[in-house]
Amino acid sequence: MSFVELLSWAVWDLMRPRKIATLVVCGLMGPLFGGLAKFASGSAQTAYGLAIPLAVYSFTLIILSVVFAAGIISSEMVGKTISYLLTRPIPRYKILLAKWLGATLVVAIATMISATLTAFVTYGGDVASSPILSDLWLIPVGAVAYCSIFTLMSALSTKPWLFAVAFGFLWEAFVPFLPGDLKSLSVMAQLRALGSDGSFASVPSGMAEMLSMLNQNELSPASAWNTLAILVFLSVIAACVVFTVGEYVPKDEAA
Amino acid sequence: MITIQRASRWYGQVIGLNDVTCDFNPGITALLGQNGAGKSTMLKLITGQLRPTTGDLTVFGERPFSNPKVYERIGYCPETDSFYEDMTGRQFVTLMARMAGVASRNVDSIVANTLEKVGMADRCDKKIAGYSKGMRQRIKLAQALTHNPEVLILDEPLNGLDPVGRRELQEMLKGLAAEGKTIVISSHILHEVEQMTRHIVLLHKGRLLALGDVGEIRGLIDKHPHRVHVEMAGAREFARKLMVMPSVLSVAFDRQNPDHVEIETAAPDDFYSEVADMVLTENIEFSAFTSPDNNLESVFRYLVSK
Repeated sequence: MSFVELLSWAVWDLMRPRKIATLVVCGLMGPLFGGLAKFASGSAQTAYGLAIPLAVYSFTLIILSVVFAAGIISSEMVGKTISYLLTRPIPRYKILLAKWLGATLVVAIATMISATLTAFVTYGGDVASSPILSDLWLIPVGAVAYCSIFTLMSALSTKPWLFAVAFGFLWEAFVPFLPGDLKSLSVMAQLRALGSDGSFASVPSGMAEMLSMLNQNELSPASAWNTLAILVFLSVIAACVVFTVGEYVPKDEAA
Repeated sequence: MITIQRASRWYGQVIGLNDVTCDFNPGITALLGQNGAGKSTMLKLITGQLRPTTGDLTVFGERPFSNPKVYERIGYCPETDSFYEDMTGRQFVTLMARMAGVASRNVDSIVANTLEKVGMADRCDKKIAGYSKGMRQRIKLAQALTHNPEVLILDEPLNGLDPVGRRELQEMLKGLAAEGKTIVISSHILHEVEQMTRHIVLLHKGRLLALGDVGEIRGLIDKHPHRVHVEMAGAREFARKLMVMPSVLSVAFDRQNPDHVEIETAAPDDFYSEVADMVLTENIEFSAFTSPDNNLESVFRYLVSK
């Protein structure tokens, strides 16, 4: 079976009705938040600047990555379909790579659609003046990074969702605003560095800004690219190795 | 084909398989044991889903764990009733066939033939979520057969099949064994396995309890009395004659059925020979002559209780 066929199966597997419902609900958070912000502020720029970082990046992108990437292996374990996959003459790393890439594609496309809808809701007919284009290339970068980390969690743990949610909503909520070099441990901080000309440039004032003011060491786009590339590479390689040498037998089938 | 050398498998503090040594060769071998005996653990070791904690296990001379070369030649039907429920039976079997290496140009015809073979040709285009237990079992079997593997590992494949389905499967497996395939079939439905093979591997609490032909194993336990039920007119007179035979340990009557007698013997071969002589010389007629101990169930019961 070719890798493309494996990939198309992996994407098909993610398009089950329940998962599509998750995509739709999570994808609508940005446009809804943007609409509310526009209604409250009356400013398209402010509404977009609120909705994209807070609803699209910090919620939709992360939650979809958790749902689709952290479940790459554990959903097969829970569904007890893993034994079919592991007894096929396909190297395990290929199965994992196909599933990782499939999850990344679905998360990236869904989040890009969400961001585009948010731009339309906030800017209306003047969408061309929004920074949506810079966000549309940044979102896939974020999807690749988060899906890689969560895929590794899926290979390492029987309860990856727990760790993925903790990483996505606790670690990523606070670490980007920590002083010194600690912020470089956050994917979101790297994305902020890459997207400084887009929506992240207009992150609203408040606690986040106050915290970020403590940090005088801004990350450069070049170092952000390097960090994310290394992070993705190491996460995916580690996930492939772990999945190849690990034993994956549903708990109630063991013994 | 499959060689297991002193293999043990631990799950933390619990032992799943304990120092087992055996081989599986062409033909049907039944892997028998109660729940928790270690049957599924052994099959997971053979199919490379687990590694032995100690000892060694090879299939076609290679260790099977995470080894695609071995999987090309193995068909595995798991015990668990799990599928991608949104797929139809045909889609699932086609996916598994492609993953097993069946060429895309042949896959449709091979899948159609296999579905026909397992009796699912007319129902395979419905979603698996709506399948009965028996239909799911047939689809599991189909996915194990599509790539024409040399070794078939079937974990409780008879579960959920109706009597006709069981008979069809038994005949199909006998046919595959006659073609030279190695078939390992785990079950706790002993009489059904007995209809397919005389060669058994008996596990109990992770240990290999017995291995070989049912008859040979039965011979190993000849210390245990072997019972024979006889039904005939004049059972008391027959019993009187039996009492003088050295091979007979005891004779018991059924109070409610005076024509029924149960004999216990410690030497079944001698007993059957002597009774055959008696039948010929004294023209005795039986209404029924059966032994409840001449089947796998009794072998299993005796060995486990030892």
